[in-house]
Amino acid sequence: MSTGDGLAINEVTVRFGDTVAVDSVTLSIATGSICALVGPSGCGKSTLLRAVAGLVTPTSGQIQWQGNDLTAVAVHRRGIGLMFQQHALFSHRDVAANVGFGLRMSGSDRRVIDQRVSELLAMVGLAGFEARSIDTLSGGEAQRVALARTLAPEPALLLLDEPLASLDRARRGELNAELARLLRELGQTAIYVSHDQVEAFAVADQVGVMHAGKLLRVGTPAEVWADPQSEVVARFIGHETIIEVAGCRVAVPAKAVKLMPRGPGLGVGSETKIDVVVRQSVFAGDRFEVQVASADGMTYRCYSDDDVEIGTECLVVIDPAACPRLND
Amino acid sequence: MPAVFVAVLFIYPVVTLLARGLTVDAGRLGEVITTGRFQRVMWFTTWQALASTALTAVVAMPMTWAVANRRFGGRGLVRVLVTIPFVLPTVVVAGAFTALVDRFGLDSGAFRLRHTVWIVLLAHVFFNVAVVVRTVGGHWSQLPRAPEEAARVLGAGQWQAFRHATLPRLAPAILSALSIVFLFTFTSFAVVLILGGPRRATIETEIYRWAVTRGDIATAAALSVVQIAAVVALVLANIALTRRLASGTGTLDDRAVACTTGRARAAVATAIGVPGVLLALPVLVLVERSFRSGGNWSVANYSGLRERVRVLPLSAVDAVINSLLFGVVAAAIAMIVGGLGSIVVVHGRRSLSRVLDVALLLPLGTSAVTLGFGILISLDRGILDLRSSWWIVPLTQALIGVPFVVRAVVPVLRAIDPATREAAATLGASPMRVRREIDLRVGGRALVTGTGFAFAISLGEFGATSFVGRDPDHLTVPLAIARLLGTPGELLRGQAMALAVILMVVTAIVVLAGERLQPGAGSVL
Repeated sequence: MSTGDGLAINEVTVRFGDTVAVDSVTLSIATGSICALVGPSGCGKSTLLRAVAGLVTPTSGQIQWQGNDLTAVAVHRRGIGLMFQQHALFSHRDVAANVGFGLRMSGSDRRVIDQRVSELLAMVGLAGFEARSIDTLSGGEAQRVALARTLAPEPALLLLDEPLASLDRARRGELNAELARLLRELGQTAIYVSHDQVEAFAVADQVGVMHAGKLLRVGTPAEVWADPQSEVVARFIGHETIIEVAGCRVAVPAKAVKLMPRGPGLGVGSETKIDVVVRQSVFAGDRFEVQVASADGMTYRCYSDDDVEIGTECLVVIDPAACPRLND
Repeated sequence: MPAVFVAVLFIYPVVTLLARGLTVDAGRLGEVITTGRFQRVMWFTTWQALASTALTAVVAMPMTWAVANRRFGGRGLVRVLVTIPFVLPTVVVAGAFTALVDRFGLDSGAFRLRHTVWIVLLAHVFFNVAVVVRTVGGHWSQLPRAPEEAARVLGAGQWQAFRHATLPRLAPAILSALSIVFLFTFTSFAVVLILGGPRRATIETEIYRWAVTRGDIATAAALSVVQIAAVVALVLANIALTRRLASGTGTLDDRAVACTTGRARAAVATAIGVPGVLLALPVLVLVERSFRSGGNWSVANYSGLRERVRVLPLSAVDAVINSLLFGVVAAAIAMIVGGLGSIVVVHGRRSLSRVLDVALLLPLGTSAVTLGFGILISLDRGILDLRSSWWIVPLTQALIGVPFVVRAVVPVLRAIDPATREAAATLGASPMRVRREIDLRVGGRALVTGTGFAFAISLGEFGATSFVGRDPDHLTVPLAIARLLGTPGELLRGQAMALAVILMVVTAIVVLAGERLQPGAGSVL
């Protein structure tokens, strides 16, 4: 267990009555890095986040920041920022009062607060919004105000709980990229909780995949993709095809699949040479993304330089070396 | 602390009263309930309440229909104005109906109203139209139209569609409203005492007469036991009916449509206008009468309030000062107790908050006479011997005001998203600071509104104050009005009307301002 640098979550368990929301999770995050926690809804990622913030008390385990135990520190003294899923803005106050709230709590001078609020609003692209009422903000604007409010007291650690969840799909990609850029510029240590692995991969240095309260896999996005280790993780991060090769289950990414015409004598079939029928072929710029299905109903994705007609009988050849092994 | 307040001022007196009625004077209870007089009183209490409720429904339903179903100029105003009679102090209403009788010579002849049951029923209708219009109207205006439209398409006439598609959905709201009206008229005190005359007695006035006029505490305690049992049964029935109401579904759309034909406009005008006259006339006559003196227009009734008249121990102006002082103190106590109580109800441990939720609302359902009488006979020992203390009056009035504060504040606090409190905490606000920055900021207006209601209640309180405010130096405006109305004489009557107008104006301003500050908080009424 690392001590001293960054956040250390050590065998933290959170129980609510009989349900175990977080099950003995251990995770460390270095100062200045961003960790994304992903998993289906109800997997315990938000609860873990709330435990770090101090809104939920762990049943057992410790949470340390720079080597100091946080367990006994009250929420409002932790200096940890949390950006809420539905933003939780104070609708009875204007934008400036929302953004300046944390600074006011720490007893900052009025003029200092006003100036910092203006800087932050400019930073999130909402210069001049000070006197606006919360009810008049669009979803994206509310999200930026919530971010500015959370960043204002300069939290050592920033927690983001599905910060884009309340936005419509079209705006999410754009705002996510902006958020990632901002966090990098600030060198902010952060935990980013999401149920969308694409969003998480775009932001994070490190990804943790949670399932049923347990942290199943931690690593860089590339590491986790290349070696998801378990079928649950593989499926969650986007591996759609999982088959058995030489007595071992493997995930089959598109780049491990080669599409070939079914020549005479070749259509014998084996674990790595499979007879398939083309189901779909979609033009994707410099190539075609082809989806094929075998007789047993398994589907495979692969790339092809040329268009193939739907219904064509083909053969796929799988390169086992390019398939991550799953040890279930 | 709120729990202690309610316990000392409510639970302890009521339990003492019950204990007294059931043990010390248990024999008396048996004797009392077998007398013919008691049975006549119970019978009258019940049937006048039933008749008042039925009459209120008849007068209020057309108006309710119009407000819920038709869009017309001044619709919002009608909704607000109809509330005013309900919040007027009972002595003001008694004064207004007395003025009405004088003005139209209804004290004798074929249309005699003075000291008849009719004037009692009319005054009860005057009070309670608002209960039906607001409770039922609120529901009706949010009732989806689709089932009625379906019925019409399937061949039902307008009346059949109402009967089969609207009424069944509206029934819980109607029952709930009427059960409240029944409770109010069953425990009505000042109206019966002042307008009904010496020969009409409900159980409330009977308790008062035995306790205060004849000094027979044992009989009064025995009667109180009966009254408490009846009120508990009625409150439980109302809770059961209201629960069914809450499970009903409503839309947020306003179902009202504009009037397109002349006939539709005439229907609305009739539905609003006829009960409107009944509601407006007594008030107008009261105001007119207050400016008449010796057959001429004058302000003599008002200027005369400075001098003490022989039936009052103090001048009317002193009574006004007393009432304002009591009102301010009672409102302050109600604000603190109700405010803290609301926080416990919303944030406290589940079991504690549920107990307090009910405890803080109990005084609302109890008759003021029982409350005043119970406080009078129970707080007579040691440090609790407050009977002759100045504080007993504002404390009692505050107790009656607390439920109004709680009912204004709790829904607002409950509507706060818990995440906003958590957000404040993660931004560095301590638990106390969160209460101040979030709960107090958001609930502040409701707290002011509820406190305003408590102030208005205190100003107009008559039933309980007539027991605990018996010290001549503590004379309040409602007691002074009742005393003046009860004594014959042109001059005294004129002064009663002037005082009633002053009380009415102050009450109406406070309540309307509260309604403006926190729309919807008036639904506590």
